[in-house]
Order: sequence, then structure tokens, then C-alpha cells
Amino acid sequence: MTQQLPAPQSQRIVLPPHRQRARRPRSVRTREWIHRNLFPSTAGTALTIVSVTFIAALTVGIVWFVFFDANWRVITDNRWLLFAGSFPHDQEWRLWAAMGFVFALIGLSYGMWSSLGRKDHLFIVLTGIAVILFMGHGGAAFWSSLWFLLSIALLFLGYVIARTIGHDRARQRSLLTRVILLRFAFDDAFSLRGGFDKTVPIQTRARAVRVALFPTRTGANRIVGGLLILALPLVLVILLAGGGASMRELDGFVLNLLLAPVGIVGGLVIAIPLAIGRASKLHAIKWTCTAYIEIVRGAPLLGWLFVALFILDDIIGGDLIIRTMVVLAVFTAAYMAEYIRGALQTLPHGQYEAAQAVGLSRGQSLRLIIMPQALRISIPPIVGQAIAIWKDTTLVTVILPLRELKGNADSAIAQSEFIPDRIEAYIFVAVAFWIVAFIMSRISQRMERAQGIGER
Amino acid sequence: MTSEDTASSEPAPPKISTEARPEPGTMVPERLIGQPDIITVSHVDKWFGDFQALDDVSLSVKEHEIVVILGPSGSGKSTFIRCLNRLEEHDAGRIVINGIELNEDVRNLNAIRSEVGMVFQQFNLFPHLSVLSNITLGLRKVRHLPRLDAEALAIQLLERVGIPEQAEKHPAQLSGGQQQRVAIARALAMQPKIMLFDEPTSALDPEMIKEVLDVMQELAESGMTMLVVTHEMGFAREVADRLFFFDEGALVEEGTPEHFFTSPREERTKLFLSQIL
Amino acid sequence: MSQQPAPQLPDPARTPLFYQRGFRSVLTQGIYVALTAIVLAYVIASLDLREFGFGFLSEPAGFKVGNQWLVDVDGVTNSRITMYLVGVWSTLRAVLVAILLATLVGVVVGVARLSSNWLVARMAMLFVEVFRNTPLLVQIVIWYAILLVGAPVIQNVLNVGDFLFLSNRGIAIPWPVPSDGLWGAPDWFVGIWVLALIAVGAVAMRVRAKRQEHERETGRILFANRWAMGVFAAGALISFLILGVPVSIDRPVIEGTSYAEGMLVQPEFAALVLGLTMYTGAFIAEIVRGSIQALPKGQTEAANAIGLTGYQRLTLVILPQALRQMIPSVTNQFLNVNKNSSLAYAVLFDDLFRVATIVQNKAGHALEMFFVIIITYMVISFAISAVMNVLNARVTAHRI
Repeated sequence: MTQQLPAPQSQRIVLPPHRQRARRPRSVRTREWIHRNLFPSTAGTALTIVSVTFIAALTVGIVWFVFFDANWRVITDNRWLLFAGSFPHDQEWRLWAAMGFVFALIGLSYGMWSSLGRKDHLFIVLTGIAVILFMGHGGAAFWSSLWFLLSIALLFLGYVIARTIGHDRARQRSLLTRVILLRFAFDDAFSLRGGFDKTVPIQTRARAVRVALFPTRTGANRIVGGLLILALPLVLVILLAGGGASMRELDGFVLNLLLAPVGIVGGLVIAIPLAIGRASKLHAIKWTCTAYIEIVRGAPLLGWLFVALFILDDIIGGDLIIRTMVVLAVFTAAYMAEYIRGALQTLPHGQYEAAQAVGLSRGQSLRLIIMPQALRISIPPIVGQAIAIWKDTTLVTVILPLRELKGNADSAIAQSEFIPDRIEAYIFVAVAFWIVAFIMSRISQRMERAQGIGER
Repeated sequence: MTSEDTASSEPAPPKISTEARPEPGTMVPERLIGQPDIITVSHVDKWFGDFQALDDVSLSVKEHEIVVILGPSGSGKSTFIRCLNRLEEHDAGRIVINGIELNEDVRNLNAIRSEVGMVFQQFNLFPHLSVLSNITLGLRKVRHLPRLDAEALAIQLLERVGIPEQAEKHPAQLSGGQQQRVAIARALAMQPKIMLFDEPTSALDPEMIKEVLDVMQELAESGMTMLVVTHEMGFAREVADRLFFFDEGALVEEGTPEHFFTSPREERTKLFLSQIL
Repeated sequence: MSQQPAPQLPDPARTPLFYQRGFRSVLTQGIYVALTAIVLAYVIASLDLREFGFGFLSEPAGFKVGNQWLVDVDGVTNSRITMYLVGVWSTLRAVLVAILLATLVGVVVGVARLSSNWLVARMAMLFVEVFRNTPLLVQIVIWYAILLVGAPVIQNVLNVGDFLFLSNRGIAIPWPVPSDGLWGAPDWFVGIWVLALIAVGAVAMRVRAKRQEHERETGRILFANRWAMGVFAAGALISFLILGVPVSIDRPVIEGTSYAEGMLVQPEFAALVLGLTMYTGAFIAEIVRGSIQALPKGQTEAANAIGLTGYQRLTLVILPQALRQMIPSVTNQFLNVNKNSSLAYAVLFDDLFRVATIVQNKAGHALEMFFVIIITYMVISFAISAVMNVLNARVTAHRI
């Protein structure tokens, strides 16, 4: 594995430049770039011309379709149907609250462990504009747009808060320290003259308050991490608890957005012991885990949804949505377990030995040494699988009587006035899925890049 | 999970008493006379498939003794010291370390790991943890020390190996020599009675070997019992109390450095030394 | 003396059974097996197994299966298992065609992504990003919608040189059919003709191998490939002169409001195969790109240094090496094609999964049908893996 380590400062020898090096002017560089990348040879030029023609035709076709041919009313008239389907209208605020919570959490996580680049800002703004345009088109979307804007504002707010906390490098700060800091900030006992002590600048007092009240970086890590773990149950509580929607009223895009995280998180939770079991020395455990993985991977997801519909009812009962969630988790787990096992195999054996030599028990070395590294290695394929399961949430429409986004698009085009508009409806569905999948793959790239620094 | 999981909660195993035996005269340096045996190995065999890695090895090591193990590659010297903290299991014979028998008893496994520290050729630091966490891990998770105490001890150890300023870094940011010194500190953190070194300098660039050997020498002078597999003859000559020469899985010859470098008895020892010196 | 006597050790204390590792291992596994058995027993107990059995499969089907090709079953007299096998045959067709096309698309796009032409590379990237990050199900229904709604009605059929017709009834393409040979021979003459061609091909391969061997021994260049092709052409010509060509290409024609002659690719099949091809093609493109990029840069430089053209460099140096890296991942994609072909359900293409659900709908027995489904998919997957393993063994026969 090649890695770029920062060379120790003392060993790097850089001579000062003794003359100004000539830089070629930008115009020359641009011309060269165009020459090299577009018109390198006769064949290359021909290829460029063909490509330009093709791209032009494609662009014209898309523009014509999007702005002149397509009837987007199939979407705008069915906005609510596509987004939330049979979710009760009077409980709308629950959806927005959940959305705001999730957006704020995304902002917090980004601020905590990564940073938003210029491209990310652009992407958020563009997506926001697109969504609002879509909502605005067809009218009567003022409140929805406002809510959406508010959610985006929460995302940035979370980001800014996390960044501010991130500066505090202390690992932990005791309650006592915090109390002393607060007393310092507010107490006038420090003043000899009595009254407000002006020798302590107000900025210092403000800083003392901030340090006293804000969590340390480690603490913030724990808080955001805990929120991430609790996010899914919390969202479900927001949507369902205390007179909210019933299970069966979870519908449309909301259903996709709920099923996928359940599949991903549940899958990962099952996958980790499964991967460890498959690598176990104990034959009984090894063989059952292997059998599980191979059987689940042997049949398509539709086959397992068939099980959820017809067979699982007898075994675990429960609502069809619950059964579908179980099947998604069980299905995803088999694939993720294979990726984790692959990572376990690539870990150098010395890591196991060193953990043993330090005196860790097998469970401890798995938890503290092996798994953290294996999970880190398997981030790219696991995110790939997460994207796959995100796309596969559409499959619940195929044989189950559940209606997610694609299913509700089917309902939309079943209305007599929209029968000819099925292409528009499905393209909208595809774009909606694409946006989320794209965000997921971006996050994966971020994590890959972040883990490359300073470690391994 | 597996059986070792529960090992940390097991009661202490019964101890075997290995009393000081009469010294065979010239064998033991003066400073160790009267010290009890801390490692006793008796007729140990080890097989990898149908390859015999250890062939009837018997020896004993005294407390505070510095032993250097020599031998050509594939001679079984690494396998031997890996048997001593049960990273490998021997197939026949007996190994008793500080009164603890290395056998099927799950209680002994845990006990032995805190008696014996190990330093590997490839350092095997945990790349996802900082230097400080590498050292405190065992203290906090096995010895259950509070974090601050563990960190104070870790900083002391880092000072002892000469790199306290690297505590917050990750292993990949250190040079090979620094990594190996961290590995030594990590092993020392568990306050072992015995330290095993498996070719600690073989993976290092030449200019870094000395800094690791210096730390080992300091450790030797502090009275630690050490078993070192190495090709560093200078270290063997200066620091070792006794040398073991392994070849083809068997202990061929043992003796003081003086005996080895002036008048080795066995032909194979002579051949090996003539090649390496 | 320099050898210590073997140290004497007192006898070890006996380890109580509970602390022995072997016993612990047996104990853990025993507990584990017992728990697993309890779960399994619970599952089996909760299932209604009183009518478990596969007898219902041999009863008359009583439903129709569409998209038949080379088979003719009406479902009245045929048994359910027959109808299911017709579905399996449909799946196999779709999977095979999709695998071939997806490989083609994947290699072309994957290579295009690394093109030095900026536009081509960007277009390939766009292709991958679009087709990889949208649900396959939605892609298939979009293709289906385009073929049904977007395509012209048969009255305004899109005619590509009287060779290919496209309308909402499907795509009509030319297809080889048996015809009378030169001497007016009967149908089964096709068989003889095929056998003759195979024989000629075998002779040509033999000539090639001989020539190559001579080449290696003598060092003279003997044009093995050209010779082989010459031999094959000559043999084919002779067999043509004797037997005639008992195969003719049947072009599609429009008769009123339907296609006649040629081969009709139904919209359902086309949508399924298009979806599988583009989706899998995008994934294979990424695999191809990854394995080419994984090659050491020196390979390209060395190929340039010995003066190969860009195309030669790709086909003679880069792709053959990348191939051996690609095969395991590509095999995985082929297995995915097999499993994803079940999405045929969404466009009502009667593949094995859809026929199975129809059977389940008519006759119940969900558990049995599930076993049938999973075993069928596993058998197909096994066949694909077996073929790919053979390929892998050939490609990696000698190590580089």
C-alpha cells in the first residue's frame, strides 16, 4: 500500500530559489490544454467533432423534452402523493420536524468530521433551488418552500456550531472546571473595588462562558455520534408517536427514506458478528455463518420480499412494513458481512498477535483493535452496498402492497389525465434517487480521503 | 464467541515451584548465581504440518538474565520465543514461566500475557490509535487503570525510550526506530517480568538500529529478564549473559559470549559465526 | 561442558475440566448449536407444513405465459412445472443477452473513461454516474415507457433501411432461418452444414497450432493466424459449393398493422435487457477503469517505447493484463445480472420469478415455490461462476 507521509521537518531540505522561474502565460497553457485534450491528432479531432455533435443533440433533446415536451404537472399536481402519499395532512409538521432534525444532524456531522467545500455549497444551493422550483411550480407551495429553506438553514447552523466546537482541543473538562470558569465570567468577587471588574475584558468573559458551556471536542464527538445512532428511532418517534401517522401511512419517498437507513444500519449490526463468525475457528459457528451468507446472496431481493409477504408472517408476524424492514436488514447483512470479512483477511496478522501480546482478550482485541481497522478498510464497499440498498428500496413496490416513491408514481400515472406522462413521472423518480445516491457516494469519497491522513 | 473471551475473569491458576538448581559452574555469570529460574523449558517439540520447527528443546533462564538467541533463518529461534508467550502452542514437552505452566488451562493464558512482554520485528503498533493510546490500551482495558494514571505512566515510559514529544502522533507519522521504541514502551507498560524481542532491529534502516539497541541496553541494565532474537553481534557480545545457538529447530549450543566468540564447540556454530562476523 | 542438563520439573497440577480450552470450545459450540436448533425449531414449528410437498407442480397450469420463444405452450394441458421451465428459459435468454451486451458496453465505456480526449472521458463519466446511481427498476420502467409511449405506433413505424423496424409493438430485426440448400435439400441439411463448418473450423485451428509450434521451433514467421483463416475460408467455400447455404437471413417486413418475418424483440424483453445492460455496463465500466488504472504506469510507457499505436497498446498490452484483475469482480456483476433479471416482473415479462409468483397465486405453497426459486437462481449462478472460473483459469494459467 503506498502512502504519502509528511516527511519529518528536520530532514526536508529546500534551497531558496536564486532566480524567478519563468511561468508560461495562462493563454498558452489553455491553448496547450485544448490542443492536447481535444485536437491531438486527426483521429482525435474527428472523435471530438463526433462527441460535440452527440452532446449537442443530447442537450437539444433534453432541453426540448424538459421545457417543451414534458408535462410536469404529473409531478407538481401529485407532489404530496409522491413525497408522503397517505401520510395524514394535518400531521404535516412532523415530516418537516424530522427533516429539519436530519438536516441539522447532517450539518453537525459534516462540521465535526469533515468540511464543506465550495462544490458542496454549490450542490446544496442548486438542489435547494431545484426542489423549491419544483414545489413552486404549480403554486400553493409557500409553506413547504419555507420549511425546506428552514431545513437547509438548520444544516448550515449545525455545521457552524460543530466547527466552533471543533476548535476546542481539550479532551475532557470536569464539571468543577466549568463551574469555576462560569464563576470567573460572572462573579465580581475578583474585583477589589466591588462592582463589575473592568480589568477583565468582556471578550475574555465571553470566552470563559463559551468554554464553560460548550462540550469539548471529544464530548461533541460523543454527542453527535450518539445522535447519529439515535437518529432513526428519533425520526420514527417524531413521525409516529402520540397521534402521528400509523405504520401503514408511511408512504411515498418518506418510505424509501425510512427503509434504506433501517436496511443499512440493521444490516451493519447483523453483519459484524456474521463476519466475525465466518472467520471463527469454531466449525459450528463458521459453517452456519457461511451458510447464512451464501443462501441470502443466492436469491434476489425480490425473492426475499416474497418471503416477507407470504412466509415471514407465520414466523414473526407484525406489520408488513416491519417484516420488510427485517428482510432488508437480513439481506444487506449478508453482503456487508462479505466485505467486512474481506477486510479482516487483509489486516496483517501481526495486529492480532500484538493485541494478544498486550494481554487483550479475544473479544477486546476484536472490539478495540481489529474491528475499527476492518470497518475503516471496508468503508467504500459498505457505502456501495448502502447505495445499492437505497436503490433497491424501490423493489418493495414490485410484489408487495407497499407504495414507495416509484409505486406512488405508478398511482400518479394511473390518473386518467396523466396516462401519457409516465416517462416524466419515472424520470422524476430516477432523479430523486440519483440525488441521494450521489450525496452518499460523495460522503464515501470524503471518508476515504479523511482516513488516508496520518493513519495506516 | 470463543473461549479466550472469558479469560480475563478467570481466577489465578495454581503455581509450580521451580527452585534454584545447582549451577553448572562456568555456565552462569557471577551476578546471577543464586537467582531462581524464571523460564524452564523441557523437551519441547513444535510442528508446522510435517515440518518440525522445534526439536526437543530444553533450557532454563534465570531471573534478570539477558539471553541472546542466534541462528540462521528457519532455525526455529522465532518460533521458540513465540512459544514462550503462547503465540504458538508447543506440541510436546513443557514450558513453565514464573511458575505458570503453558498448557490448555485458559487461566494460564491470561496470566502469562501479563508476565511476558513482546516486541515484534514489524513493530505491530495499532495504526488507528495514537502513540499514547497504543501504550495505555493494555493498562486501561486489562489492568483497568484510570485514564489519567495510565497516561501518566505512558508518558514516563515514552520519556524512558526518549520520545515523549511524539505522544499525540499516530504510528505512521513516526520513523521506524521511533515506532519500535513505542512498541517497547507498549510492552513495558504492562510491567512484565520478562521481555521477548523478536528481531527488533531487522526491519529498521541502519541509522535507526542504534537508538533501539540503546533502549534495550538501558532496559537490560535495569534488571529486566530479556530474551532477544537478533543478528546484532555487538549487542550480543556486550549485553548478553548467555547465548543460545539454534539450528534446524534444535538448541545446538549455549554459553557465555566469551565462550561463543572465542571457542565455540560445535561445527555448526563455528560455521554460522564465521558467516555472520 | 556447555550444554545444560534438561531441567527437572515437578509434575503439573491437573487442570480442572472447566478450565481446559478444548472443553471450553466444545461448550461454546454446544451452546451455540443448541440456540440455533431452538431458533430453527421455532421457525419450523411456526410454519404450516401439513400440506408441504411438490405434487402441485405437476398439475395442469391453467394460465398463459407470454414472451415465448422456440417453445409453444398454452397452459391448458401443460403442467405448472412446464410453465415454470418456460419462465426459466426466458430468464436464461435475457440474462445471456444482457451479460454479453453489458460486457461490451462496460469495456467500451470503461476505456472511454480513460480516454485522453477530454470530451469522451467526460461523457463516459456522465454515463456511469447516471446509470449507476439510479434504481435499476426505474431504469427498466423508463425503457419500457419509452418503447411503449415514446416509440411510434406501427402505422408510422421507424424504418432503419428496411433492416430494422421500431414501433411500440417492439423491435423487429433480421434473423437467420433455415432454408433449402443449393440442391433443394430438406431442413435437416442445416445440421450437416453446421457440422461441416465445425469440422473445417477444427482443421483450421489444428493448422494454426502446427504453424505456431513450427514458428517457435524454427524462429521463422509462418503467419499462423492468416493460414488458419485461409484454411477456414477455403473449407467454407468448398462446403458451400457442395451443400449450398441452407441458412438465409430473414428480413422483417410490415404487413398491415403487424410485423411479419424477421425476429420480433418484444418491448418487455427489450426493456429488461436494455435496463440490465446499461446498469451492469456502468458497473463493469468502473471495474474496467479500476483495473486498468491499477496497472503500473510503466506498462503504458513501455508499450509506447516499443512503438505500439494507441489501439495496439490497448488490445495487446493493457487489456490482457487488466483482464485477469477484472474477472472476479465482473463475475460478481454477472451474478447480479442473474439476480436482477427478476425485475422483469415490473414490465410483466414472464421470467421464472413472475411465473413462480403466478403459480403461488394459483396454488399457494409459498414455501415450496420459494425453494424452487432460490434453487433455480443458485443453479444459474453456479453455471455462470463455473464458466467464469474456467475463463479465469485460462487467463491466469501463466503468472506474470
